[in-house]
Amino acid sequence: MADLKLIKRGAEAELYRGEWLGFDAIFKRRVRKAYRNADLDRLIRSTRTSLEAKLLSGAKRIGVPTPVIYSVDLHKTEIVMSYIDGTTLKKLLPDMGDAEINVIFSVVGDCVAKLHRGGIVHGDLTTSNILVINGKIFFIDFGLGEYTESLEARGVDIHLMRRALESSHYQSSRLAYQSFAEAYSKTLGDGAEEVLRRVGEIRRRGRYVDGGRCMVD
Amino acid sequence: MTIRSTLRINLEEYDLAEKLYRALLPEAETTKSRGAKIALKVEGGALVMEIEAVAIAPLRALLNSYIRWVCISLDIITLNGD
Amino acid sequence: MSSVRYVLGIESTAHTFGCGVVSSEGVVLSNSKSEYVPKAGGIHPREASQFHAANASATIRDSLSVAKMDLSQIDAVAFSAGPGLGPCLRTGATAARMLSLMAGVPLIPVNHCIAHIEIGRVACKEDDPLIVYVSGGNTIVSAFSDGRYRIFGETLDIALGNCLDTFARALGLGHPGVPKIESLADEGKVFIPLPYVVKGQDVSYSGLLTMAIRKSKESDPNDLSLSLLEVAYGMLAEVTERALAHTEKPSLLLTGGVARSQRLQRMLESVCREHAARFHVVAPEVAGDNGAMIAWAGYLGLLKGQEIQVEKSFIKPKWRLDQVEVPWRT
Repeated sequence: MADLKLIKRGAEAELYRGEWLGFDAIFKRRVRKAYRNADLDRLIRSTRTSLEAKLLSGAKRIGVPTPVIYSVDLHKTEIVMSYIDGTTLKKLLPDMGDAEINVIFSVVGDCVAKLHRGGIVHGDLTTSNILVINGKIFFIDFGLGEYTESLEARGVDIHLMRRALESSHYQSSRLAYQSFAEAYSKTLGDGAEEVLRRVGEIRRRGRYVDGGRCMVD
Repeated sequence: MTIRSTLRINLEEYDLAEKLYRALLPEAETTKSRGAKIALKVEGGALVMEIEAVAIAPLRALLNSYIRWVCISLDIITLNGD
Repeated sequence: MSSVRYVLGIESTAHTFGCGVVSSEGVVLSNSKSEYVPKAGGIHPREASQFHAANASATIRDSLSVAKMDLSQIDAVAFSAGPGLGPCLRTGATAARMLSLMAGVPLIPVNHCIAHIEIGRVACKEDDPLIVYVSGGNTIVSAFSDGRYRIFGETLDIALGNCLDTFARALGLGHPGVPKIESLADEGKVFIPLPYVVKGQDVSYSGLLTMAIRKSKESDPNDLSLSLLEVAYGMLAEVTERALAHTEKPSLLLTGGVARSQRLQRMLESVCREHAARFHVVAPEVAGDNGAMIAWAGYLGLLKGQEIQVEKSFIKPKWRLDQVEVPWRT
């Protein structure tokens, strides 16, 4: 493991590419944050590492493509997983036509529905966390995910994706969300309507408003 | 039950009454008060506020709001005269 | 419009009734305010608006007198049209309308969040910083893009300031709460685990608040205050770091009432250092809600024709930051 090459210094983790027992692998290391209380920092890094590993393999088991996990080290807060030679949806989206956007977000919608049905929320559904390779998509970075069946968590999951679309890809966000929602409803079936209604509610909540919770006018 | 109340604020100048009217109008059009409504008009040098309520409590609430706003507005009228 | 030299701004979204005068160079000539402090519990909109009504004209007079001006020297009147509490907004709007009519000058509706951003931006002279806006009612990470301030992250429930103030009240620390929690935290030694909830770019403070209050019966207040701040600010620092990494903005501007917190400043400064971004914080005099920031944002809006007819100057209690066109930036 001598030849690790830093390929990305993210907000939370450093990603290295290297070889792991002959496999082309990604080493994801959660790094110490100087701004954070040391105890809190250790707690966050180890819980997220362990949970992310569980969620990555859990997602794969229910038919949502994710990297294969090779090794987890809670002391080093490191996950070793298969390298996926794809491009982020974030990079691809600006050059996509309407038809392509429709196709890809239908797949995303289908996958997120499968995750939710399997009791998983991703927790950070941005276009940077979806890799595309030959029309197939992979979900990465489950570091903020959780095992939950709660309506609110599912709603937040989708709300975050929608907001990320609006802040980074405002031109295509409407179409992308429409395609997403249609496919999501088709796959999830009966419960989908309730989740999408909650997405709308979360969006409308008084959190944009001064006075916060006390808003009674 | 219906309670009506008319408030007449005589400013003795059409111009001032009309300004007060314009300052309050957006509120009169949008205040959704349960059980009370208000209509504003200018009559000569006076602003006339006609309030109709289904009970005393909503009448009082609405009156209180408008009296407060009128007070601020009258104070502002006198700003330049100090 | 080059003749516009002095703009008067009225702020009245929540606790504060403010009146300020700024010049077209962005110089604050006066910034008077009166603040409603609830006797117990959180803000009561109607009580707050009564308080504002009682103090409005004295505040306006004070502001003009500090600026050494009378109303006839004012070239435009701006007011906070939202977001905020309806009864408070109505009081401020009515005062602003009357001021504009009496002075015979344009009236400009201002989005309160935009005002917090622009008053910070004019002083730090940064063209395009990432914005972290934290107050009693708002917790927003925002960046300018394609004509608007886009929201990258925010709170999913209560605002950071609300969380801390409510905790301070529960502990009987009084008002304002944040400085008191900070001085307790300075004596804290042991970290007590509390719910740390980051979802994507967003944070959630309500679970943290509930748990912190629950633990207040059995825990050392110094340790608990330390832990609350570490968790609450740590969550914000994390989403800020993500937004910095994602947007690659060269600098960060911390604004809003909670921006005065030195502990938060240190934490975000450290985040900036890691990302080689410049760190700026709004001046303490214009950090909290105030009229001068409304005046300045109003001036910027007026230059781009955001004047409004008095008859149509309705308040907008739920006016979102990202609904506002920002034509003075490109």
